[in-house]
Amino acid sequence: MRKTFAAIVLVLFAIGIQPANAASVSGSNGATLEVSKVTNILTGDKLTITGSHFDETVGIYLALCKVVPATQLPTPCGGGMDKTGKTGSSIWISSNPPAYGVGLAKPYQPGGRFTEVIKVSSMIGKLDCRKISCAIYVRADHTRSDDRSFDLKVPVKFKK
Amino acid sequence: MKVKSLKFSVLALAIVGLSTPSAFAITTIQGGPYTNLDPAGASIHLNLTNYPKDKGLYIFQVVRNRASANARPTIINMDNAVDVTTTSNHADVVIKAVGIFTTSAGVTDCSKVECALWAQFDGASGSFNVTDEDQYLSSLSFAAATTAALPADTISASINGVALSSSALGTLAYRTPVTVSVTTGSGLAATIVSSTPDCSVKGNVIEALKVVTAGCDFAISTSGNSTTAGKMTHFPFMVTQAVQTVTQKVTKLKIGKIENLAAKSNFGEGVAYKSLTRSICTVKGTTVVGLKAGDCSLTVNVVGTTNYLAVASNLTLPVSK
Repeated sequence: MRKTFAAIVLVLFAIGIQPANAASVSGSNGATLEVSKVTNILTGDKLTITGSHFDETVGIYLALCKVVPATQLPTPCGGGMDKTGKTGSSIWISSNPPAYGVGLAKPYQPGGRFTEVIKVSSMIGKLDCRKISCAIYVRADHTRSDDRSFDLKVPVKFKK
Repeated sequence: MKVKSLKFSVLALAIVGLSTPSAFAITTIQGGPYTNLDPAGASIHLNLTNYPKDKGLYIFQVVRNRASANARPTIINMDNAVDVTTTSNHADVVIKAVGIFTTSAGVTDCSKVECALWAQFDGASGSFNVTDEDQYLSSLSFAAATTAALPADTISASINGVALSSSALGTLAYRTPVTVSVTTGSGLAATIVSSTPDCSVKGNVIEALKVVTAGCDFAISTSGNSTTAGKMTHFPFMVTQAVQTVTQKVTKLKIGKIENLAAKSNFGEGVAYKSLTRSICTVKGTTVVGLKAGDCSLTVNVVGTTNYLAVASNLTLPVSK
């Protein structure tokens, strides 16, 4: 009787929920970027972007961008360089922003973590992510925009 | 056990860091003053002990290079360099520090950058490039240039009632914010700024964003007024790993009822559990269920990083009907 009970409990345990359609990537510096949905995306979809083990001394931008070669600055991106925090389609994360960024940039959570939601559009200016390759990018913010060592990307596909 | 030894290591490192400026330099160099210096020229008296008998040492006023704990400076004031040769009087070496000096890199204003005293083997020893004697002696803080006419302000700072020093390292743990209380002689408000990107400041709350061997430095300054000259004082800190914690909401179990244990630590790391009493309780991932009355004993493990310690502990949950 007790064995049967334990077996039932174990079966219940075995049922897990895995996030379908999500994808993640890890950088050489240990940072991990995860996007909640990467295929069949529609304009207006809200993607949850989570990061962990990021270097908290380095501010980053989070945005949907056209895929570029690894040595190039990811651009153009949806929402552009959001120093005003108003466009909502790119997010600035920094725990030590310049004076003008205090209250604007969102600080990292301890452990180099963040969880943000980006509302995406298939159009980046005149570029159509239904026709070209796009990705959710993380890159160092404008205080070190030439530094490619913090770039990470998770490719996403819009529904055609 | 692992956590304890890690803590002990951190403590040992802290003690080493506080007692000697460098883990490598042989010579012990003590003296002062290092603060409230006259920017026009202030004599700093140094006493050298345990110095090399066969080689001389340079003592320079420099801009501190915080690339690492003992990174050689790149901006050196050669005008007031002191060469302590083997035949020098090592008991009272005097270097005259100044508030502003000029090098090939341009004009250095020690009220705007972190100046310090630096020692290394001298050129005559033939060991200029040998780093065994490399060490920063202390950061320097100068009274504002207007002190000729105005009395210098004073800045004292403390954390939880413990005074901070501008020459001895304070201790700051990763992502463990602390509030700095600042008192100025003038009564003017003081501003705290982090000199490095590895730490942040919000008002009077300082926080380390990363464990770095070079540590952090905070400049606390007052702007001065018509009766008091402005003042800036640097307070250096070493940064240590933080203690990682796992907070449980579950304190007891009922037979057959599945409970969720904490899935993440305070730093977002996944928590791994294992039942040590499998007849009493069983664990799958971060869920636990009691099978019969007794004490459910679990191991709790979380990985650490360079910023925070790992967790390896036990959790006991009583199981009842």
